[in-house]
Amino acid sequence: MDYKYIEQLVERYWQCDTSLEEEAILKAFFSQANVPEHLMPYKSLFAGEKMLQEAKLDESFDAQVLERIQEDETVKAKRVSITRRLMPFYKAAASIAIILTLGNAAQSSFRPAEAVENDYNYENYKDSYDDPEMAYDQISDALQMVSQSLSEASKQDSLLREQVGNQPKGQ
Amino acid sequence: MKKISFRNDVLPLKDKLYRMALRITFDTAEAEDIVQDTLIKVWDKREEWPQLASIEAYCMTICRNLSLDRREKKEAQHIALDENLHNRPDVSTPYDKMAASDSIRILGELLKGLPQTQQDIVQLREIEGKSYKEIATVLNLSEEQVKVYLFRARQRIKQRYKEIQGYGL
Amino acid sequence: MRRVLCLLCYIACLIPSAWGQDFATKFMEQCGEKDKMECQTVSPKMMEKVMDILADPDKNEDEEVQEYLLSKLKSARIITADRHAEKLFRKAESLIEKNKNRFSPLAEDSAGDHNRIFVRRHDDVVRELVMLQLSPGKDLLTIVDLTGEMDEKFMKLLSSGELKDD
Repeated sequence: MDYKYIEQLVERYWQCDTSLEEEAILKAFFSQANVPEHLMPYKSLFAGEKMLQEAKLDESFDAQVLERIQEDETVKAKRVSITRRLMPFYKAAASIAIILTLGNAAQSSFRPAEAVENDYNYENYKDSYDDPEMAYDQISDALQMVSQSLSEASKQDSLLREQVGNQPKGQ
Repeated sequence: MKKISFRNDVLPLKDKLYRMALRITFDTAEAEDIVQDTLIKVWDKREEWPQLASIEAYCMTICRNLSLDRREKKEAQHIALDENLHNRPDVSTPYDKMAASDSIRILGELLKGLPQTQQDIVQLREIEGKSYKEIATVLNLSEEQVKVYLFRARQRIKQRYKEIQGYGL
Repeated sequence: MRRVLCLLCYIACLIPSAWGQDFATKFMEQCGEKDKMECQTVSPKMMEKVMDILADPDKNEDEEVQEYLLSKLKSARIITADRHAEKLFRKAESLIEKNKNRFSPLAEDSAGDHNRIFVRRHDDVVRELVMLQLSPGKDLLTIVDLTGEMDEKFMKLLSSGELKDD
């Protein structure tokens, strides 16, 4: 092959004067084994392009992608149907929630705070003792302390005696 | 506009996308991964397909961004690990001793500094062998613009060759 | 849609639980210094067990008093804090102050600064009794919180000061 021609092609390539066919010739030329020394630097460009041109994914790739997409599809389909199926349930839950909320709001606004019944939520109580004896000691201590401070206070304060004595009409 | 089908319109782009990913990452396994992710991503956005000017350009953009991300991550790792600059491809290495994949690596390095559009045009022209007209359609540019960009890109590549071995020639 | 639902359910659950808290729970929650305090709890279930062991046919008079007192209780909680006691005491006070239509003061020491007792009454019985006690000099805070149906007799027995120390 005439190197003059190739050199000329390279020059025209830089000027964007080459056709696609001529560029194909360049790639083919630089992809062969013996490229003259002075044109060697451009080998990486054209040979690299040629190699890239030939790079391809194989058939198994398609199958992989399609499989992933199908998975995605079925998951989505399922999700939609579950949401739809549970729609009546959601509606019911919503109405219950609304009723509860309104009920609670009404309850709390209609009756005075003092009149709330013994409504302590004992569910959250975590016992500190497993042994009733220990618990008994604990309660005794507590009662003892309350009793002590009550009696001390009542010694100082006769008003308290009255208050404890005749139950709570005045408060 | 005709309806886009994944199997007929998107999946056949895989090789083009693969070559683009390969150009940017120089790694066949990674490139394959990227193309798969790209296609899945495009599939997830299928509601938006009808509004797209070109599904091909759209796929290319996604693929390019994914590739650039991966390359950045990889480069960051490399530098952090051992700064093995001497292992990096060097354009002035004797070519006959080069492994085949190094050509792709060097091509990638050559194109790396170019503006994105120019890189895409080189890719479409030189690797996909597309005419100016086809490139213009895909990238939504005029044919004139494509020519101008390609000219600039080739000048830049030539310039880089000169920089690398200016004293040798 | 789902988020709105969740919110509604949450509100619905929240309201009853907000009402169903005793002072000790509220205080522990609001105070945010749980690690500095210790809370001993006797739940209604444990209280029943305690009553079982007290059901001794030949008990003396003292035990009878104890049994009566305990039978009127549903739960007992004791919070102790041995650091920042003064600060926590004031916090507890202000929490009661904030809920003053729930709690009314029953007794306090003459200065009113280290021992106070509050009660919550309903249907003529004390439903909840809260005692705040600051042990001066020891940096020790004790809060006793009793719930149950503490009637007149209960309160009299308690304030008589005749409770046996055992």
